[in-house]
Amino acid sequence: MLKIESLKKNYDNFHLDCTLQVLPGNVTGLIGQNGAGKSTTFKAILGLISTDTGTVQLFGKAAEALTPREKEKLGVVLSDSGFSGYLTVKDLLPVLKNLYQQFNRNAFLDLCNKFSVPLDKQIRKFSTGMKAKLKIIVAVTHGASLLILDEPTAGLDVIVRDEVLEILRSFMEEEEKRSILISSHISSDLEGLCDDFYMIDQGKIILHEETDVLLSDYAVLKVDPEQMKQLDRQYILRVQKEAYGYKCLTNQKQFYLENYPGLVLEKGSLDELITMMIRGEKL
Amino acid sequence: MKGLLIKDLKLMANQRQFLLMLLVFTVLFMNTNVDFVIGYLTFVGSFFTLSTISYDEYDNGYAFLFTLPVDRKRYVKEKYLLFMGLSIFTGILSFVLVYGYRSMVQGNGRSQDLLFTVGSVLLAVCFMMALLLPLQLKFGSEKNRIALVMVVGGGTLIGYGIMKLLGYFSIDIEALFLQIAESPSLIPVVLAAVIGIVLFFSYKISVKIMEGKEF
Repeated sequence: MLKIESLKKNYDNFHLDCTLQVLPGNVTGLIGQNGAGKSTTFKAILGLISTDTGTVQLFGKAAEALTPREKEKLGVVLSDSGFSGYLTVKDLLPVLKNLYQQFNRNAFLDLCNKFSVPLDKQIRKFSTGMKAKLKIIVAVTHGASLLILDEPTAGLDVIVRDEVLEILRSFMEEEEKRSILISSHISSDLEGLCDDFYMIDQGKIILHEETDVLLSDYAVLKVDPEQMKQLDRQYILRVQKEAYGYKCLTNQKQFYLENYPGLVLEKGSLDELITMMIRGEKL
Repeated sequence: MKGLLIKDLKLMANQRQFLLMLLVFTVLFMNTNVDFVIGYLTFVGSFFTLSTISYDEYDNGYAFLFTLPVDRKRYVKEKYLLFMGLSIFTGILSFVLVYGYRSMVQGNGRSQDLLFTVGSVLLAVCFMMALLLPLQLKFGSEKNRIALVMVVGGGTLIGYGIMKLLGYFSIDIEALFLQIAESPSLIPVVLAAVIGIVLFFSYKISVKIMEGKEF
């Protein structure tokens, strides 16, 4: 569905070097801190910025060679950009109908109604939540096969975030081969949605793992200096010094459960995992 | 492209105060200066194209716009079509309004001078937009005014330079102008052809500008 290989973009103080893939039927998360390179990656995929080297393939074709008709298969949400705020949702109806051959007016209006998105109000007067819901509704109602969503849940309260995720789940359930690439700096937002995750830091992918594996095999060990000395470190990915000793991130939880029954072992949230991957030291 | 045109027309329709102001000025000057009415309506109407670019640019709107099934060339083409459409529409509208006013209120249905004014204004609008559209796309609404002053200043200097150069080679530019002026039917044709060429290059430059932009 989407394949990025050795994509490089160099700025003065930032260098992106990214390889990732989104498979048909998958929801792939791209997580990382603010400024890690998520938006740059998205912009490169969408041709909004030029790149130095590397390739981006969408639907098996070089992204820059996509015709407008083929681009209709993309649904995009950008965190900091959208339709002009001086338009109303009603104004968008004929615009979308003429931009997308498969625009589903009824589905669009149903979703606007369901999620209380006003039709007659100018978009600039919308709340953050309303704007976010509108962007998602536009993306899912024109027959897209791939959604590219940059921080669609940023700044949303829990209720609106869940509404947005509900729209995305319904989108995936409607057709098997649909895919989503979604980014967030708060990974717990995406925990229940994504099939796999890429973690990006300082422009580089530092981890790629399936969600099931992340949740079942990754854990944080809390050890004192004495335990640290005796610890088999071959499955330790990162170590972080703490007041009581060390926090260690492993991707082989079972190994330590079986061999070190006395250790304090926490499952760890995805956010904690990110923090460890970024702040922790490699052994 | 049709979707983009509808978006721009919707944006225009949402500027009710602006349209109302346009109407008030038209009515106010109808009785005194018809040339002003035609020029004002046509210029302001077609200049709305520049406002639509500002709307697109505002709040980083370009980024989202180019994720839609629209490429940059089509975007530029749409802006040129929009301004031409608006110019022709407002030109015809102003003609109809003034002619209607003359016929019904003043009982004087002259139209030849009006046609001449509409034609001249349309050519002037095309020339201005050929200059302004690439500037607006390149510099955005913020820096565009400074750029315009520089371009007009630069253009004047170049024009002056060309005149001097022609003088240097003993080419009588005045005689050339006189020759054209003596055959009035030729003037609009020559002007239209020149402006057509200018518009063509303006469009090509605008496409290059947009294709080189990063969002």
